[in-house]
Amino acid sequence: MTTADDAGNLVGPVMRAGEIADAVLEAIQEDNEGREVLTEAHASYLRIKVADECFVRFETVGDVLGRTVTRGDIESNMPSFAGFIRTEPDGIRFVAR
Amino acid sequence: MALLEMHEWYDLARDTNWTPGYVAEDEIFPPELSDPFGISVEQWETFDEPYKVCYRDYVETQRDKDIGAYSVKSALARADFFKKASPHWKALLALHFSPIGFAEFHSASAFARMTRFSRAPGMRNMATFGTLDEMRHGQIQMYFAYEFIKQDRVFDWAHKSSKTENWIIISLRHALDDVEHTRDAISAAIMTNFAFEQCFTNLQFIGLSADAAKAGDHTFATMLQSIQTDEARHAQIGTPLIQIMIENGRKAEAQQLVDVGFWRIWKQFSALSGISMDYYTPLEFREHSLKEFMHEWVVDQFGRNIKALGLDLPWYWDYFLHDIETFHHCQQIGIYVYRATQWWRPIACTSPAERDWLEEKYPGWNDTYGKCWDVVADNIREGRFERTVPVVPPLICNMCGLEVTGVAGVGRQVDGRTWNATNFHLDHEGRRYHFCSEPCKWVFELEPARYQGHRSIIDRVLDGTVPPGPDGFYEYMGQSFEERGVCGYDYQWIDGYDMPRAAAAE
Repeated sequence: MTTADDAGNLVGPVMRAGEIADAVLEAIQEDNEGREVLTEAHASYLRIKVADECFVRFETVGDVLGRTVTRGDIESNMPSFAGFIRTEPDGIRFVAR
Repeated sequence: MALLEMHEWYDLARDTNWTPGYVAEDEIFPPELSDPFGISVEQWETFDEPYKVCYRDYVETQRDKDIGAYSVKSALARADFFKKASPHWKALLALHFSPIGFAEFHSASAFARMTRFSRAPGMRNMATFGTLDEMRHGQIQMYFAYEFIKQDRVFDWAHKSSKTENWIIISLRHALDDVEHTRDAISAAIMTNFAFEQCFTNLQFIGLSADAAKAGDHTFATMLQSIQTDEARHAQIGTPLIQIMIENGRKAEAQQLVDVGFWRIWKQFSALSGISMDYYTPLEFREHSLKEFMHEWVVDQFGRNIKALGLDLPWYWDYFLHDIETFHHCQQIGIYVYRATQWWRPIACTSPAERDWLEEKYPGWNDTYGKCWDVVADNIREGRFERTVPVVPPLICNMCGLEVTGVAGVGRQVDGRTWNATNFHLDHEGRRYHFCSEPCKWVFELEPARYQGHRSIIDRVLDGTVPPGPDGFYEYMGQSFEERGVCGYDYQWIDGYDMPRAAAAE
């Protein structure tokens, strides 16, 4: 199991607190199986952190919510992220470099 | 007929470079506006957008964002909220909306220049959406601010401020002109999209939204985060540019752009976010201190990105870490004592309980900045209100345009303490320039010809640009008598000082 003990390589989305944030967290736990997913809750936002690389698949978020989820749905609720972003056809990837 | 997925046509659709037949390449893309670094167009064409979006998706997403933000505003009918808000929150809203709304609208022109002059098709695509983003940010913030005009004319400054020569606006304009508006497309993008938007906007638009949510101002909190979702996308323009610069032997130039842009914008956010988070946010609603938010968003998150890209932390990083804990405390004192030069109603925010919080977050605050507030409080208690306003104008930094102040821990030692105003001055072509810090002086020394023509508000007083007479200064800054700041609490903030500290804390 990959552990997130190196804070310098933690990457992932910062989500506006709410239903989408909770769904993205659940999806990330599923899409990054075997890897530790850390969270940091603030009054209005949720930091989701995975070491080195973090992937969130739109379909997985949609499965959690029970409806179709697009890139725009994630973007509308993601004011920031740690690391570098790569938009892909089926999801969003966050990488440390 | 089945539609192609975006990734199937995106690369072809955004490949809009071609070989001109009627004019020379340099006439379409003048090097001074497109690329002063001499990197080949083939290299710029390798620009790979980290965040790919097409127009159809963009419009749908932006429509949904606006529906979300405006719906919250309508549902919560803010008029009552504002009437009941404390002078703390009213000052915070005024400080945010007044300088930022129109500055964001101006940013649209910076993105439009990136769209027009970049030689990288992918960058032009991203910058097009960035242009639309910034127009939205200007409009939504002015619209939300104008809701309050019936209650408080201060909010007229959401539109008016950028048309004035108020000293705070001069300071902000000088920084944004330098970073966004007076450079080639590549330099402006590295400074704006990377050094500015990948770090400092997080502070004001996410950090402050946490405070707003705790304060129950869900309209403001939602608006801030809605804006930042755009920033998170278009701020990615800077990353591939830096990679291309480094791959083509221009690391030193990229580093300098980051170092200058980062410092210039930090000074603005130090005052804006620093005062908002550590003073104007009511004590019970503070999520974190400026220092804590800075470490989360800038020192850790952005600092890692700098190094991951192959750049170095700016040479002044240690000084910067110290500045995080000091500069805004000095500016808060200046903003309060020179309150008539602000258009809103500044507040002190140094009640005994607030002082305890500041001491906890910034150990040593009471022995340094607190001593200044003791003098102000004593003068108010004794009814010597005239002594709470300095009779001489402050020394203003010829780079950041903010007050040259004492910084705890820096300067000569007097009476066992190190806390003195330090003027980092420079003599250049027959005149002396004053700076608040070594980095501000360094920026000037890099390109004296670029900066030497700018005159601070104090320069304008001394050279006669500002009309003489008791009202000349304020009229020059666009402030009628009613638009001159007064203490937001009518001096009642010192009430807690009449009780023993321990009793007040209880």
